[in-house]
This record gives sequence, C-alpha cells and structure tokens, in this order.
Amino acid sequence: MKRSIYLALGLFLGSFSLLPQAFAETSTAPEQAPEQREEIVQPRAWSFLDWELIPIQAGGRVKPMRAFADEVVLHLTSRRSFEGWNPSEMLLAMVTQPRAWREKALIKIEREDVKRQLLLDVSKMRFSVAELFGNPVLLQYAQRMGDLESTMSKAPNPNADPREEELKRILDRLTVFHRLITGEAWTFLPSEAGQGWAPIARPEDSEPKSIQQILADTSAQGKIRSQFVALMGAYLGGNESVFAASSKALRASIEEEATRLEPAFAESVIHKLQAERQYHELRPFHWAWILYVVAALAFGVASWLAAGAIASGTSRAFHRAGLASLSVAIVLHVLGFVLRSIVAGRPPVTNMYESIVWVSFGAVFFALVIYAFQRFRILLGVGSVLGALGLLAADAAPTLMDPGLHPLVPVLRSNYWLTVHVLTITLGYAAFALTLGIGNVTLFKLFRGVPERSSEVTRLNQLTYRAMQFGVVLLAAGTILGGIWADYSWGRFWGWDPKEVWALIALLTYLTVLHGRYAGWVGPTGFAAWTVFCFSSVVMAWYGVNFVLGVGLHSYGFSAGGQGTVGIAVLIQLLYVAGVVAVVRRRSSASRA
Amino acid sequence: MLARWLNRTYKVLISLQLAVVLLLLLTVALIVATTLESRFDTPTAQYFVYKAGWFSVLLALLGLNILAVALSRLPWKARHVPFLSAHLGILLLLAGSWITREHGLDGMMRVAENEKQAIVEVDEPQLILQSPKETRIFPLPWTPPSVKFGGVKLPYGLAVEEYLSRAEPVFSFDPSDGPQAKPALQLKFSTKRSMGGMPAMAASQELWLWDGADDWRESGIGPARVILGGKKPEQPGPWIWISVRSNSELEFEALSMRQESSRGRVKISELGTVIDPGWKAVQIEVKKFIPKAMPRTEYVAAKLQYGAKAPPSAIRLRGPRRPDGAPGDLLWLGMGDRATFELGGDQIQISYGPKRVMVPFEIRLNRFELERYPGSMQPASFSSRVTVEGGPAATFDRLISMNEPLEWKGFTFYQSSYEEAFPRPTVSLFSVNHDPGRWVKYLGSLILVVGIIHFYIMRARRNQASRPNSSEALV
Repeated sequence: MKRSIYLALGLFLGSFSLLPQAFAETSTAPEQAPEQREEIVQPRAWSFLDWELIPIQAGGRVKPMRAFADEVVLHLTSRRSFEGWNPSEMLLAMVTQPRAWREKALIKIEREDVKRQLLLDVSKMRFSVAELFGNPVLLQYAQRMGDLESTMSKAPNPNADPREEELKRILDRLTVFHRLITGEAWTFLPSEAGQGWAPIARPEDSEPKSIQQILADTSAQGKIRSQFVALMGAYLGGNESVFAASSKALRASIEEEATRLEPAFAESVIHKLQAERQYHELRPFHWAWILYVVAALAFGVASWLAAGAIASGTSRAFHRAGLASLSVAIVLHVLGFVLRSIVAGRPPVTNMYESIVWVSFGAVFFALVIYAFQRFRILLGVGSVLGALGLLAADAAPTLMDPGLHPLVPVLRSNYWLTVHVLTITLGYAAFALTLGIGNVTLFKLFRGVPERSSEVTRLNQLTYRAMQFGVVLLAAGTILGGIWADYSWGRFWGWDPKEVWALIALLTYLTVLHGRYAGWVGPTGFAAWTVFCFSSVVMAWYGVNFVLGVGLHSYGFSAGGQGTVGIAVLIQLLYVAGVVAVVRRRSSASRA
Repeated sequence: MLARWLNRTYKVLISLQLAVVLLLLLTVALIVATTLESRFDTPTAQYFVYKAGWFSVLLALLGLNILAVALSRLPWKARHVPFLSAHLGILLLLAGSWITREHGLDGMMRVAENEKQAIVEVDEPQLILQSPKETRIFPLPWTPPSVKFGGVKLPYGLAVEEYLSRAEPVFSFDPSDGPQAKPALQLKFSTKRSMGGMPAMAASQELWLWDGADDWRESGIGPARVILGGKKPEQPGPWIWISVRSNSELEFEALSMRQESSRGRVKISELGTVIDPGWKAVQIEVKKFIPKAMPRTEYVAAKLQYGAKAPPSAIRLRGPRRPDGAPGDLLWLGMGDRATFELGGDQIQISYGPKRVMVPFEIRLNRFELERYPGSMQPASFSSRVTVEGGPAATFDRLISMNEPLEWKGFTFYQSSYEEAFPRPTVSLFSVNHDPGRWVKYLGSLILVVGIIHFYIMRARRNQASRPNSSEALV
C-alpha cells in the first residue's frame, strides 16, 4: 500500500494536473517558459461556508472540508495558515492552479544535514515541490523506503533516526501534494457504510476526460465529479455568487448520495460536520489562553495594587475584570472540550494535545474548587496562569502536538475505560500542576522576604498539601484503574511497562515528600521546593515516556520532538528552586548569626 | 545481647527513615530500569532490575517495613483504621504480585483459522533432551550480551557453550558429497555508476542462491528477480535466470526493465567472473560457485534495530565426544531447531524452543475478523470467533475481541494481535493468562484507595477541630 505510493512518486514528474483537458490554463506543457505562466489567484475575501461544510472522508472518518484543509495545510507547510491563505481556500487554489503552487516554497526543512544531503541551499528554510521533486537522493530514498516498508513505523518515535524521520516527512508531504493535485486526495464520492469513499480521480485512470465526457456522465458519482469541476471553474472565474451556488450544489449532492447509500448519514454525521467546522472556525482553545493571560495579568495587578497604598477601588475593579476574563476563558475552554467530544464521540484525552487541554482545565477546576472553600485569591491567579500555560503550549506547537482528530487504535476504543482510567490519571496530573503553581508562588514569596513561619506561607503550604492530596488519590486510583484495564485487555495487571512505572515513580516521589513532611524533615520552604521537583517526575510520566523513552505498550501515544524546550523549561524551574532555597537558607543563617 | 540486637533491628524496621530510604531506592531503581528499557530492550531491563534478586529483596524490605510499622501500633484503635488500610493495601498488592510471579502463567497462543490449539508458548527458552530412557528439560534464562554466559552442562557429555540473546542467522554453503548436494552461487550486485552525478546510497549487495530448495532458488534485488535453475520465468522483466552447464560454466538469460532480452555463457575463473546481461545500472559478479553444496546456518549477535522486532535467541551446542576421544562437533540451534545425536546406539534428540504449557481444552478458530477504518489501512477493531472444545459437556462458541476476553477454567484469553496477510489475516494471536494473585491485587487496590481517601477526610476533620493550631499528627 505505502510502497505503491512511494513508487508512484517516482513516476510523477510531468503530468500532474487534475483533469488537464478541462481547463485551458492547466493544459499547457510543462516546458512552458516562465513568462508565459498563468496568472496566480490571490486570496479572495469570500465566504467559503458551504465549501467548508462539504463532507470528505480522510484518515478513516468523514469530516468537513474545513477540518481536512486545516490538517493538510498544517502537514504540508508546518503552519496553521500559509501566506495569509485560508486553508480551505488554499486547497482550492492548489487544485485549480497546480503549476503555480508547484513553484511555491511550501515545504519546510529544518535539519541542515538533510538539506546538505539533498544538495539544497542550506540558508533557505522552505522549498517548493518543484525543487524537491526531481531530487535523485530523495528518489532513491523513496525507493529504499518502499523496500523497507515492513520495518518502518508510521508514527514518529524518539528512538528513530531523526534524519530519516525528516526525509520521511518530506516524502510524505510530496505525496500529499501529489495526491491533492491528481485528485486522489479528494475522497468525496460516498459509498456504503464501512466502505472507503472513492476519490474524484485516480492517477491510474489512464485517459484524462474531456469536460464534455465528464458532463455526459449522469450517475450520482458523475454528477459530483462534474459539480466539482464546475466549482473549480467558478473559483477561477472569480465570481463569488457563482462559487457559493456551485459549492452549495456540490455539498447537497454529496450529502444526498451519502444518505442514499447510508441512511444514518443525514442524522448522525451532518450535525457533527457542522460542529466540527464550528470548532475549527472558533478556535476556542486559542481564545481561551489569551483570556487566561488577561485574567492572570488582571489578578496580578489587583493584588499588587492591594498590597500598595493605592485606593482599593481600583484593585477591586481589576479583580472583577480578572474574574470576568477568567469566566469567559473557562466557558470557551469547556465549550471547546464539549465540541471536540461531540465530534470525536469519545472523551478527548487520547493524545498529547488533548491531554494538555484536559489537564489545564483540571488545574483551573481544582484551583476554583479549593478557592470555593478557602477564599484565597492567589488560587485564582495561579489557576489562570496554569490554564494559560497549558493551552498556550497546546496551541503554539501544532506540529509537535497534533491537534487533529484521528481514529483510535483498537485497544483504546472503550469509552468506559478511557473515561475511568485516563480522565482520572490526568486529573491527578492537573492537581499536581496546581501544587507546582502554588509551590512557585510560595517560593516567590519566600524570595521576597516573607518569613518561613508566617501565616501566609503556612496557608500556602496547606493549599499545596490539599492539592497534593487530590493528586495522590487520583494518581493512585488512576494507576490502579489502568492496571485493571490492562488486566482486562492485555492480560496482566502490572507488567513494568515504562508508562506504568513512571506513574508509580511520580506517586513514590510525592509519597516520599508527604512522609518526609510528616516526620518533620521537610519544612515550609522544602515543601514548596519539592512540589517543583516532584512535578518533573509527572512531566516524565506524561511527556517523557511518550516523547523521550518511546518504549513499551503505550506506543499509540508516542511521538518525537520538543525535548530541548521541555528540558530547558524543567531546568529553569529547578534552577529557580535552587536559587530561592539558597537565598532563604543564607538569610535564615544570617539572622541566626 | 540478642535481645538488644533484636530491639535495635525492630527500631530500624519501624522507622520512617527506612521507609523514605526504601522509597528513594525504589524510585532510583525504576528510573534506571526504564532508561535501560529505552536504551536497550525490555528483557535487558527485566534482567538487571525487575527480575533481579535484589529488586525482590527491596520490595520485600518495603513490605516488611510496612508490616512492622502497622504492628508497632498495636493495640489498634479506631483512629488507626485509615492508616492501617492504606498500608494493608500496599502489602496486599505486593503479596498479589508475588503470587502472580510464582504461580501465574503469561504466554501466547497462535491459532490459524479452522485449526485447533491447546499449546501456550511462554517466553522462557528451554532445551528439551529426549533419550530412550528419559525426557529432561533445561531452562535457559535470557542473558544480555554484556553478561558472560557461563555455559550449561548437559548429560551424555553435551554442553551449551555459547548463547546469543538476539541472534541473526547467517547462511553459507559448504562443498558436500551428500545426496542432496546441489549447486550454490554467491553473487555480488553493485551499482555501475552514480545517479545524477551523486554517489549512490546502496553501493552493493550480496546474495546466495542454491538449487536445492525453492526458498533458495529465487531472490530479489531491487525490482529485479534473480533465479538459479528450475524453469525459465514467464513474468515480465527485470529478471535474470542462471543455470549451471558444468562445474566451470554458467548460462544466463535475462529480461531488462524495458523487456529487452539477452543471454550468454560465462566461464568461472579465479579472478572474479562477471555476468553481464547488458543492464545499464547494475553489475553482477560471481563471488563463489560451488557445484555441489549444502547450506549451513550459523548465528551472529544481531544489532538492535529501531522499529524491527528483536530477533530470538540461539545457542551453540557441543556434541558428544567422538569415539576417538576428540571433542564433539559444534552446532548452532536457533529457536525451534532440533538436533539428533547417536550415542552408543541410542538416539538422543535435543530441541531448543520456548516453554510450552498445555491448557486442558482446545481453542478452535472459526473466523478471524478485522475491521478497518473506512478508506484507510488502520485497524479499527479485530476479533476471533472461536469454539472452546473441552469434551462433550464443555464445548461452546465465543467471540474474543479487544477489551472482551474469554475466561475458562482459570485461564483468560485476550485478543492480542494477528499476523498480517493478504487479502485478509487468518491467524489470531491470543495472550493467555492464569493469575491466582489477581483478586489479592484487586482487593489490595480497593483497600489502598479507600484508605488514602479515608485518611485525608479524617485529617481534614481533625484539622478543622484543632484550628488554628494545626497539629499534623499522622496517627
């Protein structure tokens, strides 16, 4: 399967336009001189609503064109949007003007050694399909990959050779581009339930059809094909109302044909398509992190003003602004989560992106719960910061943490266990994230000279302790529930799998600290410092096992990348702790002397 | 004196210091183990940590510490309940794990469609020695390459002299006069010129062909087929078909990628003979030609390769002493291989393979079902329709799927995997498990979690009662 794709790459050099006879612009010979090139369409400020709602089957499920476009553009260009193009329009532009897009520097290659190996200009970051296509080294590599197909794994893994992974990624992108402009990627000819939808055209279809032949085909599939051709024409033609009409018509025929073949389609899929497009349009997590940042800043200013001598009215206003911003952020956060659950039909906690979204929500939630009982305003600030950090990380690194919705591996297809095990264990992480946040605030206070035995530090310590209790119970329960699920589906309760072991390590470090605190070996400063130290074991259990170790049975979550960033973040945290502890120690020994 | 020593030991055993030290040691051990697993593989981590004696001692000490602490609070009062249950939970978990380890079974069963199976293979290699008098089993525990293998002495003067934990077969051919000896040919393929002015990546490749078995008669190099003997292939090119004319002459016929045919004869010379079918990019050189040869399998240590399954182990066996007193022959045995020796008229058979356990009934696979996500190759779910055949009274049909195991007579069958095949897979792989410690572990888990929650609730209540002076007495 995969091999044939890579081999097909070798054949694809000159003829690559979808339906070349249908348009005069694209039927010109490839040897055409540059000055004779077609005029490139610039982004049009149209509404693409109906186009974005067109159902397309890709990656094992039916999704709206908008979701497909977002995924393809992200994969192809490593960016959410490219040169100001709306992704759904960009796909249209690519398929209608393949020759122009072949020359655009779309594909990002970061590794210098790979660029050198491919004899590319090392100073450039992005390369066009045309530049990469005839590359003999890449071609040879494609062939070798075809031969090695059985031993290659598809998902990125930290143990794989990063150079090979980069080459593989380049080939994957070329394949995606190729499939887009040959029509192979446009799988929106519906079929019966459980069957794969057919693409609008296949490269192996020997004869390119003339526009008359396409229009003469009166079958449902033929109708969809001719409507797609008409839509391409309408897009190139530059008339918005014609385009809107033709995309509406195309959408209606696909929905009608899908419903005819699979009666459940109308009720069960169409509303999900709308929800999913809405989810992509709204970008709730993006706006939520911005609002969390606003809330955190407002709370910060409010507490700073309250500490100073300025009238408390201003401080209260800022606090209220913070509350408002935080509330809207939480609403958006929950809305995004709910939309995603509806679209996926499962709790969205099955990859790094989803778990970060969930854990940051959990941290905010725990902060509010404890705030409800303790009325300690610092919790609101800490919650906002944690929400902002989590969603910012998820939103800022889409190439690292895939925001796409993908079908699950068979073992994860149990909503019951997903909810019970994964939600529990990640809520545990969330509680520990809160201890990290409060711990950092405590350290900051200590650094600012608040005495260790003051009521403020004692209270902060108690809050940390409360959050840690939540964390220990949830992590212990979640790990055990994971054991029961593993017993139920893999046949053993505990198998020293790295993910299991790291959950245990995290639990052990927190238990050690709790026992040490009980024995009186860990004082207020130590306790705050240990929360940070212990959280690095959570980072390892959560991120490290998947992105650094990359071994074991939890392989469906493995990926690669970000080791440097995460490593530096952890290092900065630990250095901060060491610095504060040193300062506090020196101060207390000075006061004793 | 003894009393004082006992007292001191008891003091250490119930101390919190010991608990914290043990927890820290355990943490460090686990970090080391996961690093080993990532750096090498799972058996390495198990050998050095999880299955090592010292690790059991560490866990046992932790258990002892917890037990001693719990006993030290005698006579127990109501306020001790959460503390006791949390720690009893951990003890039960440890005990359950120990029972599983000592008395449990964890293996794999492979069943093809319309076949019956009762054998469970456990990933513990062993040697079975069968003589007319006895059958004996010698376990060969997995040993990492970095640890020197001490050798295992077997009866009848046999011995295992070498052990490769991850072995890769290397085939070669030796001249032979045996009745099955056939021509063998070693060819070297190399790229003639660089592509597009760039050095080619795969510079050369060697392969053996042998006319004695179908597996050996044909091989592939890139898109081309290479065939020795047999019938002329009828498939489209590229291929090259070589036949042996005499002990010093070969004949070939070839079809190129463009379906241009060529033929010729080559004399075998000392200094490397070249077969030239007129292909543009490839050069073929005869490295070795043996008119009458038999294959020989040897094993070398395999390198761990990312993405590939770790290859199984192999052993090197020293045969019985020759009648003239010379040491016996050396012989490689891979997983599943067997060897037969003649000793004083007796036949002694040795086989090397995984440990096998019979379940007291048979599993018949009626159909293996695989559902893929529409329009993709990604499996969505897979399941096996089986019949459990355990005599007339105990025969029934069942569906085993992911997350839906079959439990029967103390054994649990889990749908674990399958062998990929075209057009559809027909071989199902079950993970088979017998775990008498399961309920101990489940009970322990429940008690532990309830204990922790109870503990925190009680703590919160007491803190509320004794505020603002929040004393944090544990028990």
